[in-house]
Amino acid sequence: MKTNNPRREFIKSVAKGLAGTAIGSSLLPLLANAQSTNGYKALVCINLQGGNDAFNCFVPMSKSAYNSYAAIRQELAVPHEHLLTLNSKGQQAYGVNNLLGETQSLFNRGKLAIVSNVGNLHEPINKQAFFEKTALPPAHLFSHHDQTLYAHTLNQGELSSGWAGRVAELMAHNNINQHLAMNISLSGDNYLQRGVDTLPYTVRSSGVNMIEQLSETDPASFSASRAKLYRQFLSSERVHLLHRYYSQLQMDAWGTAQYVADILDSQILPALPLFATTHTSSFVQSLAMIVRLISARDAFEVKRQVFYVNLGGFDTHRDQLAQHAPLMMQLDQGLGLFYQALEALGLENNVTAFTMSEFGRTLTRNGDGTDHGWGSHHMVLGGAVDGQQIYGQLPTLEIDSDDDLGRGRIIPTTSFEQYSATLCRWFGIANQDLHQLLPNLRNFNLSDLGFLN
Amino acid sequence: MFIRYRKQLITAISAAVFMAACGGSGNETDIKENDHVVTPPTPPISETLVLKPDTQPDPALPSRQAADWQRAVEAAHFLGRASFGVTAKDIQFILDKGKEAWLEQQLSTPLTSQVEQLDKRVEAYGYLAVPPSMYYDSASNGEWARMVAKQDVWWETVVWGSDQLRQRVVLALSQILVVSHQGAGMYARERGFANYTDILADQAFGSYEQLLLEVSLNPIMGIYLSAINNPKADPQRGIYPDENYAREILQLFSIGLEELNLDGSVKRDSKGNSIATYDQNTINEFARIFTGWSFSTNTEFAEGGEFAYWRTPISNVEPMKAFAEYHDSGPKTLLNGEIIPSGQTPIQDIRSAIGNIMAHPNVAPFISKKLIQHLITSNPSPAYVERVANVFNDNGSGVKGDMKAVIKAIYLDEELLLNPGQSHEYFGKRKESPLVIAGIWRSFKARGTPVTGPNNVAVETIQYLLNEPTEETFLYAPTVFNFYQTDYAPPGVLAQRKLYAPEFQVFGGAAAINQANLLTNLIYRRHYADEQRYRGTGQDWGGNIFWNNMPVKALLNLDVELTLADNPIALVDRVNLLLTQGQISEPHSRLIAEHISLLHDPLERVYESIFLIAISPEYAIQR
Repeated sequence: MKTNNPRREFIKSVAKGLAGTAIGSSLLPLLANAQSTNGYKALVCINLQGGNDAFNCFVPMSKSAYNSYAAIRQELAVPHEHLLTLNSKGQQAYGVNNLLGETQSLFNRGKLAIVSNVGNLHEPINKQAFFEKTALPPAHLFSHHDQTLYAHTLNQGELSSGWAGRVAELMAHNNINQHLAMNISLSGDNYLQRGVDTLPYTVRSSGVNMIEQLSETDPASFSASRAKLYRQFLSSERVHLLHRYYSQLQMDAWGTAQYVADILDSQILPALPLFATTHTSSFVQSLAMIVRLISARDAFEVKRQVFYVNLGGFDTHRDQLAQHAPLMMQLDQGLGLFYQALEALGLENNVTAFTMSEFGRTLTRNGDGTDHGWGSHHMVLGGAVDGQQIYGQLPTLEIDSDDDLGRGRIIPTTSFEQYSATLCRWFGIANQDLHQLLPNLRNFNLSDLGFLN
Repeated sequence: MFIRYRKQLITAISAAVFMAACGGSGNETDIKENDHVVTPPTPPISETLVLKPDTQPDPALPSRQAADWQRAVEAAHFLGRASFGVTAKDIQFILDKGKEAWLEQQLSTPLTSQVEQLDKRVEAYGYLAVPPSMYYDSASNGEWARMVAKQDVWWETVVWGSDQLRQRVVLALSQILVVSHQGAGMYARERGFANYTDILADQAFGSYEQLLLEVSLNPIMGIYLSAINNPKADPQRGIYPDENYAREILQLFSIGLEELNLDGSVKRDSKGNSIATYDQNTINEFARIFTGWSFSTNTEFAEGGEFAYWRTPISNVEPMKAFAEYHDSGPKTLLNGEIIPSGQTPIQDIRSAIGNIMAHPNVAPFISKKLIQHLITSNPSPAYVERVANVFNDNGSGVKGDMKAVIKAIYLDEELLLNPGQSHEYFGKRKESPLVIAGIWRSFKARGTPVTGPNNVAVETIQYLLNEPTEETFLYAPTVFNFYQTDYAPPGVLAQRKLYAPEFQVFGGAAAINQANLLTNLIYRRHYADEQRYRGTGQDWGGNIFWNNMPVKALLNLDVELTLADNPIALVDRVNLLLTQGQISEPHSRLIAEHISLLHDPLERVYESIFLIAISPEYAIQR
């Protein structure tokens, strides 16, 4: 860790704060109240873990293209009459799976864009170059772990930090609060948000857990004396690196929990459907917590935040129709409720949500499922999105076409570098910093895909 | 995570009256291919094994000033790595006879069969041990009780069982050859998971090649990585073999992605690049190997799909059955260009493929390093990996993959002989949640609590149900890539020094706080004779097996600690030795002793000392 680690300083300040008034307790963040949206921006990454089959989310509607898709997909194909029409501003006649009704509506309202055939690329590559090895793909294509790592870090070299982690370290000065990490994860640690020196702050969809046995609410209590002793133990110098790491982690978590909990506890929630307590999907609950945290941005004194939520289960090798449907429904419901809440709070132009996934899936089946593919379509949602459009180049959904590496593994035509660069530019990363942040970006002509205003 | 099973259950209940006839032979250890008996492994199962808590008095342990303190510390370090928790009796055993004797005794201790324990438990509750269909008892929540019982008997095994080292190796293997209850369609397959655990336990001191074979034919793995009901290609219909199992057996279970040196480091070509062990063509070829397998009770290939709820539970236990007409019997080119001839039977193909994999030079360093990382330290020296890999390659009698020899080499390596003062400042690993929990229960001789089945018979059981998603619950990994990667380096000093701390990948702030609260729950008000003993709410305590809102059902035996309550420093020394190998420094020990002296109730002093030591960094890390 850096010697001037802001999180260390935070621990000290929280430690002081706990002895007297807890930080933030005097600041009552009222949702939907007159808060400044001016200058605030948040990115929300929705990670579709396992490799989402976007070819069954978005489907060509024109007769010949649909027939080709259906002939390959057979019983996995979405029936044509089930497709919901996307009124794209472009020429593409594409439809969306009928389980994605909210997505259709957000697209047609211009709030959502589709970015077509995105994937992990080190440099542009076509079929011939791939087989003649005149251009190289990222190592270990089709391996979950490696492709997740690649998409989240966008590095070929030794550096193992995630691009959102590097963004946070580059933009740290934007936040008055130097203590709460810019990156907040609802799904634990992840590669995307790991910086060179920093980790994301992790919070649960249910809120902040406290260590009850170490409560210092009553300074005269026995638990307060226990807490004092424990703090002394955690802050003593240790030689062993894992002991040191654990001590710092526990101190940080313990201090931050009190701080964040105080702010969230004082929130007054408006009755928005997203905040209903009846949601059983932890994905939807996580989106609700993200909106709560964004709503408390003034109390937290932050202008830039990156949130991460994982939705798992997309590795549909088997029984895909039954496995994929509930995932699409959760995703769709979440996107709908999330955007509705942002609009109600006047925050829709300040927040951009985007999907990621380690790879797409094969067009061909292995029975009743699909295998690991490569390129895939992604979604970007928000008031700042120039929506109702499909960006990038739509692939030909035919076996042995120039887009097909074999078995319907579609070669991506847009890289995650370009996708991320577009998001980063909107977030406020200067042009000259983009290439330092995304070292492979220089290999691609277009560094702004244009889906964000 | 159990909550969602309740939802599946509701949909299942209405359909559960539908039953299939029992078609299995009942002998679940035979690996059969039609009529050809391929391998009849005979795990050394004791037939009368009944697990019981230790109620015998503990020996006194040396205090910090005693001559034996340092030897006891070393014994405790060894036991911390080789068992699910340090006991006073085991320390005494090693002080008397040495750790080699302890190890030899463990290597010859038979496995505690999870299938046997599970069957006995569900019978005790009044259910059929092997019902005719998976959801047979749905109307009385029986299939839920079975899921609960499977977890319970595993906790009892790792806390009360005598096969401690074997089960530690199982915990490691379960994170290398991953199957998970979190996978699709895994509900009501608890007997299959118990059997999978027994396969790992049997081969933990057996043969890695045999382990790969049994895992490849196992229906739980078959479902998890979609190797079951996987037909040969049908190009006309655009269907190709499923690549899932083919990919993971290579990437995760045997050789990994890059060629390795014997010491586990990545091999480089003349340009300094790593060398891939295989490409997509290899995967396509291996995918063809694993075609043609279905449930043992199927009369037709893929009959009913793999998620049918009416299936007999035996089919989750017995090795998969081959259907030759669905197997691709053409020639296949495997690793290093080895060609498997056409016309082989499905089992011959799998045997050839596993032979091909085992012949790859990566297996020894790849598996040896992973075992060391899971059992001993996240950052073994290359020399340590190489010494173990050499034994993996040849046990001294020319046998490759002799697990008993490998485990012995891991635990008796010179790298472990360095005392804490000499060893490097990153030796060890974060304890996974099961080790944190079982460590308390073993050191303080946990008892179970009575839980009653529908027949009103009470069974003493250790129950821990409402696991947090962040806990590394046994057989509950989120994906086949396990809970974390063995090459995860947290940002900061560790990443800068290229040091791994894999278990920290799932241990962020929220998990750290959860662990402190879990330890509170495990320790305070848990002494069996505490008059204010935690009793949960309403019927949960000792009442109903099904509806739990209290996460933990285990009590501690703190009798010995209570005798030290009026000598706080002696109490702290004992707890320090049992939980943290005496690593709590002398000044900190004094501070804890002063702190607990403020309490008058002897039991409060004991709880307080255990809690403060249990939430220390020294307890969180295995060294």
